[in-house]
Amino acid sequence: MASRPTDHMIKCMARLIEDGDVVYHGLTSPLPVLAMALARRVYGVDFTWASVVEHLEPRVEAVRLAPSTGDPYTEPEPLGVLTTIDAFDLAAKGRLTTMFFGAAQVDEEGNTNLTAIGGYDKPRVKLPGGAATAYLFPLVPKLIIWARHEPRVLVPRVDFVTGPGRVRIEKGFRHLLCTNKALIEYTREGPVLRMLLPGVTVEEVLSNSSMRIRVPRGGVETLDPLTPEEEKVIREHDPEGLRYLQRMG
Amino acid sequence: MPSPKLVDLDYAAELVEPGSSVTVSGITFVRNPSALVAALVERGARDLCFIDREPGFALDVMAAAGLLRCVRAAMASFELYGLAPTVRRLAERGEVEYIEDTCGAVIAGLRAGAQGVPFMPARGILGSQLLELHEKRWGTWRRIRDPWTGEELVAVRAIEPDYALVHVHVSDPYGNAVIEGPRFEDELKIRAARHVIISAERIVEPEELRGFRHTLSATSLHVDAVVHAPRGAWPTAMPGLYRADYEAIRGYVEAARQGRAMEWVKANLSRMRG
Repeated sequence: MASRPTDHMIKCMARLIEDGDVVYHGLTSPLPVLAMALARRVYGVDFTWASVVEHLEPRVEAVRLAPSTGDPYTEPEPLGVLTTIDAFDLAAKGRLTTMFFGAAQVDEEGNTNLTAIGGYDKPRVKLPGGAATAYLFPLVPKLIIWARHEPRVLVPRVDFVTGPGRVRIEKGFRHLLCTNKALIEYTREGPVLRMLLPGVTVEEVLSNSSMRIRVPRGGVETLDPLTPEEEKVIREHDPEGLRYLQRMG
Repeated sequence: MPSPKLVDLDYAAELVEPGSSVTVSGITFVRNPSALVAALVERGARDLCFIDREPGFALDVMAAAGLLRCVRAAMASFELYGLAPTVRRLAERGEVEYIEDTCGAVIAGLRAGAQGVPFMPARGILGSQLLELHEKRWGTWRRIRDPWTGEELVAVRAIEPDYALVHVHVSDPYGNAVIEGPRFEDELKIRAARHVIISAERIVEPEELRGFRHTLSATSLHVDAVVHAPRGAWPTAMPGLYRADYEAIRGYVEAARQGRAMEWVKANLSRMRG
């Protein structure tokens, strides 16, 4: 079975996890969970695994996705419980280094919206809420947003700023956006295209975004397609293909 | 000596007064107090304000049963099943007041409530548009400065729910209770709430707790009532005892999306009651 854009996103996100990182994932996060598993098992990255499940260092080989990524049975055999209270206290002290966030909209400043489409008071769509978004955006040094690459998602300005991007850029934090077409990094000059996913052109990245994305002179590299081992590991942790329910292709 | 507080499910549900604020244990599909929620649906007080960090099933059922006037949460999600179906609809129609919070602030507010102080400072948050809503509209947060360094912080007003409904693994009849595995903010909720109602998979004699094998998540000093509710978190998971019943949850979601959540709830009340 050929790998799909969803799988390329997982690989793209996994490669952003580095030795020494303290990583936390939240609810509705199948792609981050699989990225964490890939980083640990295939790339051998030495990071600390924490999450909304509150299991510190589950046995990674036994991780299996379910319809909830807050389900403790999906990340079994931990060393013990690390409560979210503890994890977020570490964040306030700058010691939770890496976090993944979904977004219904993301804009040119790196702000995200998980609150409402069409404004707070008369929402056209009431979104689930940002969870830790507002709290953690100003605190976590490396943040990886994942979103569907469409003009109505990658917008010039979000309808509501749940997560503030500008404070992150001002602090010099890493602010990354992984879509089902590309990896984009926020800089003081705005969003910059860093990498294409396999089979995607620069033209496709730009024409499917209503936010402006800078393309570096000299072009960008393309992510290698998944190796058989990467495909096997992702399938092992998600045999039912729940990752595709996120509709990233 | 404390007196025993063991009551039946319906009696416990009737303790919750109309117009009060309520928080529940667990997150989305983990350790929700489903048995207590089922009894609330049958007996329950209306006009409640719900507050929690990352609620799911219990919140949506309470919303569908028409128990709620307002909802305050950092995220109300059914995860891969999408948005909390009933809460979303009520919020879009303006039929509940919806206060969006953020995780660190909910924790800070509960911490203040548990410690008996009026507010708790929190880092983060600055730059989010949620700040102006909380400051100006709801009066729940306020920008303050560290009196020593001048650093700008967010003061979160203490959260003291009138009732905490908490499902646990084990309790004695006095409310000395143990939660195994993930605890989320439940221990803060137990300490912050004015009244605590515990439902437990197992009721044991105090002698069985003796010997320092457990950390007590609740004690007789905190708890008002204890209910025996085996499988009382169904269809959500009880870590170490049973998994979430995703087939049942999917059934609820499908019904709720068609506006028939209460048909599902009524058909499943006896299972929810444990």
